[in-house]
Amino acid sequence: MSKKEIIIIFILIAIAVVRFFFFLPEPPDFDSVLEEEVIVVGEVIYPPDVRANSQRITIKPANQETNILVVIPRNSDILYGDIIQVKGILETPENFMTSVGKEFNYKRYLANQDIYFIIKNASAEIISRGNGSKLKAWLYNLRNSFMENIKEVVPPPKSDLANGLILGSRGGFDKEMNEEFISTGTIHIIALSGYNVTIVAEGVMNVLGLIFSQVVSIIFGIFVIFLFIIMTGASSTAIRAGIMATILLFARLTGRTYMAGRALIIAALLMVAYDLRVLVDISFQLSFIATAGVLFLTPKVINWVKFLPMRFKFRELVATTIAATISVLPILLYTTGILSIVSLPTNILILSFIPLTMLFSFIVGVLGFISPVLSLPFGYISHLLLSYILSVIHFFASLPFASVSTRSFPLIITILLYVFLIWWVFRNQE
Amino acid sequence: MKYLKKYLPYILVLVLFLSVFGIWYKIYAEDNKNTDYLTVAFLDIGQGDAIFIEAPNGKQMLIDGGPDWKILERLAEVMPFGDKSIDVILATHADMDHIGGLPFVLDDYKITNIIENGIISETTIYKDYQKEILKNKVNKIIARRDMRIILDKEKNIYFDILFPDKDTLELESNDGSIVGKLIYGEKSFMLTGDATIYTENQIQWNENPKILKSEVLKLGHHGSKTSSSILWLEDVDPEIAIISVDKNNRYGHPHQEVLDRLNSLNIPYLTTYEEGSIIFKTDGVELIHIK
Repeated sequence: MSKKEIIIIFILIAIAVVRFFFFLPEPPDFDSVLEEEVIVVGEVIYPPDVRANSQRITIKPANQETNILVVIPRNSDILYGDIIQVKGILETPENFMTSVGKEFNYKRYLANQDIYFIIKNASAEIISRGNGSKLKAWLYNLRNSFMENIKEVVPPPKSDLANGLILGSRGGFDKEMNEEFISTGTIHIIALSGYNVTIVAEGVMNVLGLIFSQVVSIIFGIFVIFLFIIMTGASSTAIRAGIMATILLFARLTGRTYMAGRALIIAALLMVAYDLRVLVDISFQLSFIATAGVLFLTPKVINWVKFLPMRFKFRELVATTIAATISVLPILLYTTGILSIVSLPTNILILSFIPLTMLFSFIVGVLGFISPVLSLPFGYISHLLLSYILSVIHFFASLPFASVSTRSFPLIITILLYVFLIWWVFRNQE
Repeated sequence: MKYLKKYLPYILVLVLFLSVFGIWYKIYAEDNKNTDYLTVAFLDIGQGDAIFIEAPNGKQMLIDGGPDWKILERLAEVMPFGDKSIDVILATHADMDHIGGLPFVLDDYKITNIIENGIISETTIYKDYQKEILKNKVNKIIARRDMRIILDKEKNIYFDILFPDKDTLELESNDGSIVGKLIYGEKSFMLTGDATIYTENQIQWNENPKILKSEVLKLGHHGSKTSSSILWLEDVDPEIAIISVDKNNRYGHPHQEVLDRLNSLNIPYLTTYEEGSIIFKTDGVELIHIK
């Protein structure tokens, strides 16, 4: 590392600390009304998260810096940007036990989103509409219509899978289905990953590249990445991928070499500088570690699988899958306590079909803006592919030994495993 | 730009080709029913009722929608791909386990008619469901005895409403359940919603026992002992009884008393929690249990 780099890192860390101590909103003092019925008026700052039987809405009350999570019945037409009046019992969130008996730190999870209070079983009334940012409202609306277009021709739960693959939307799946994803180690396919961001950017640039110059299409690509991240809810994974993709595109624009490892560290440092709390955000941890694993472990792993054919990039696919699986294994064991035995075969069987599935589902979503008649034939193809993915997951999840769970996986072992992995990757390098 | 010009004709041809394919597929999916068979599917939607009926001419009817959105998955399994319309929904009564899924169906499918028993409920789910009916401008009909829903004129397949025979406003929710009989040639299905012994008595009072005789009986109220009296079972005298029920439900359905009554009359039965969705086909002469 050069002197300049060390100074930049130092400055970023300093910013992180200063922001953490002086600029993050403090939890408000609502103790006097805790466990009592309250009426709160606030603005809906994200699109409602619609689940099987309820929907979760994050509101920001007027004159407050932090947010309140409100749970209301599923069937209501509240949108992003509405100001709503909520009635219900004000509570503090409580940690809960997962299905394998591990405690989930729900308090911290919500605190990372500046949520310190929750109102369950609330009733809500819309006071006024269209208060949020026009751009966000437009993007969320676009996302919603796109998802509706897919639902129009592809039946559930396949339509939910399609929307999960493309937009990282998690709504719609019931508990059993979610558990199947977890026990087969495939939940990452319905989470928004760097893959989605990259594929969108590449797609846009390829199409624009037919008409415009490279410079224009790259600038437009960066712009689209930015919009896509906002549209999908700006998760830390998406932001991480977005920063890396932007660096990649800048490298292409200026003709410099792109080093993914560096881009990853820059992305992580920028995100930490903005909000130190991402360090304890599990999706940030997973995304960071999995990306690092794919970047640094794949070259090693590929030597183990030399017997596999190169055709269709099959060898590469298997090697990246193994690399990602190894790298996230310790932290997954530590946080979820679930070890999926069938993760590798399941992932290898489905990952090769995911790009095609995403492509056809995307065409369905886009053509749906014109007419369902037009999107139906594509819908049929995507339906076949989605059914294949779901039945592979269902088959492996139904095996008796699909996953084993442990209640306690010590932090110290997790750390030691990572120290070992890092040593193993870098031992032959100067 | 030059690429676009070069490929534009091909793209247009492809789009036209796919549209033609799409249109014909839709026509095929909805109309090409050159079969003589009527399908009746008791859908596995957990604790609740949902029965999908499709006549040979393609007319479709849904009796109840189960408790939640699960109905959408089950419907997709029995309906042709891309078919997003149902001709008539019949809601036997306004309980959660019968109408809970209907707002989702109304939202997702194009529904032409909806038939109800006319009892108004104060529950949130009922209000949601009524809101969806208004929003989608569905034609609402209140069911009364002697009404006949003709599903297939050519093949003479129809659904006769046996109950309610009067205004139901003063009745208990389950007592006011719509009961009806689906008839095709020599085969018929007695579909009872959550009808109680009270309802059964009323129907037996009104009708000739010959009219009650059916090949398939869906037991009232998920096999609860407050339904399916011995006299009712004797009059309907089914070849097979269906119990639409979830495993380990909190009501203990189906009740052992009811199973004993069935056994004493030698009536075999199937439950949705053991079989999954139970599907029958009939050409009016023969009754086939597909699954």
